[in-house]
Amino acid sequence: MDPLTAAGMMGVAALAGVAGALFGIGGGIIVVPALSLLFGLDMHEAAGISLVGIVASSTGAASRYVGTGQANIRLAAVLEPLSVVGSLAGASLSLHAGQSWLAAAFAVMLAYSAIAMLRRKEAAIEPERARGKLAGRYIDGKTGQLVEYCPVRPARGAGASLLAGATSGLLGIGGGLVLVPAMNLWMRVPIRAATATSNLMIGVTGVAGAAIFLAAGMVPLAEAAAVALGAYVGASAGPALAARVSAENIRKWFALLLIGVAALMAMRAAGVLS
Amino acid sequence: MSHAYGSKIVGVVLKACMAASIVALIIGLTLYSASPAPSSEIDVSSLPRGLLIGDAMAWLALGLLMVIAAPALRALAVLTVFLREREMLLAAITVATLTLLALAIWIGVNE
Repeated sequence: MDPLTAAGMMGVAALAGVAGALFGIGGGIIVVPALSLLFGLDMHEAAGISLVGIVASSTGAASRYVGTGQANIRLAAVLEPLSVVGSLAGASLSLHAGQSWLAAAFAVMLAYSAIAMLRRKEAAIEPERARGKLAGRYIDGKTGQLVEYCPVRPARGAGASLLAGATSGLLGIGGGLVLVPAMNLWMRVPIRAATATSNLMIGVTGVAGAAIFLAAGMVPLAEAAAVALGAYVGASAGPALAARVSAENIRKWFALLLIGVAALMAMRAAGVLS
Repeated sequence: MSHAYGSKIVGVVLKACMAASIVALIIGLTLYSASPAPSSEIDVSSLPRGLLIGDAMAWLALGLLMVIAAPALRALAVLTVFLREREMLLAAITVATLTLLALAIWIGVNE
């Protein structure tokens, strides 16, 4: 790998890190196609490097978000085990399940979440209801206002976490695309806290995959190092950018991202994309 | 003890892991640029010797292992916070996460 390639990979990873930090998605959706299409890496190598990048992105973003109180460590702790179970089950099922049907179902689910996020306003939580073990509070970087909330419907959130892990294992798509809308729409977690908490969680879900790829000798070390460094830079800068954007716009952009991924999944289901 | 205390501990652990891995990765990439020898293999047993003799791949491997260790160490830090706060249910859930994570890695590596 020459210095120019290393710089290019770092740049792509930094971009993915910013997007990952902003939306709580890890950035694999940018890194995998970029590494295979722009840098000519084999898909397995790209996937392994991307997993390392996702873990780095999670650490970089979460290290900032926990300090501001936006990442809810208690909520993450409750949802994490089911997400790991889901990813284990998903990875096993992926060997037997029809990928095109799964991709089609996932596309419908993402499109539904996107429409719901665009149509429904974020549900406000009365301060007196924002109590409980999973409650959180933070200062909104854009408005300077104190935001207090308490997640509701924990059972639905747990189900979504299981589903997020399963889709991650089944389709190789980051669980954040499922977790963030589920936390925001079902559990009434504000979008900033949902993306920040997702950033904290995706590191744990990504670790198992990254360790497996590294142990199998499928990750070129120098390229992975360049991607990890770029992801750290992008993910560390992402929270500062997120603070300048209104929560309403983050929600709209996230919905548009969901529509984009739903379209990609629909193409995959139709056999247009592999 | 407040939620802010737990967040502070977790933030410190994540930042320390990030700083340590960045140092190792930069050293590794600098050594690699001087004498490029691409590799995808990580040999943990020869890591200490490799680090001592300035082997680029050993430094890169150390940095990458630190990257993937960060979320597990973060979960451990969360566990200590919950134990200190006597939040036994949350502590038990975190132990379950760590166990599942170890199981997932074990299954994947031995498959």
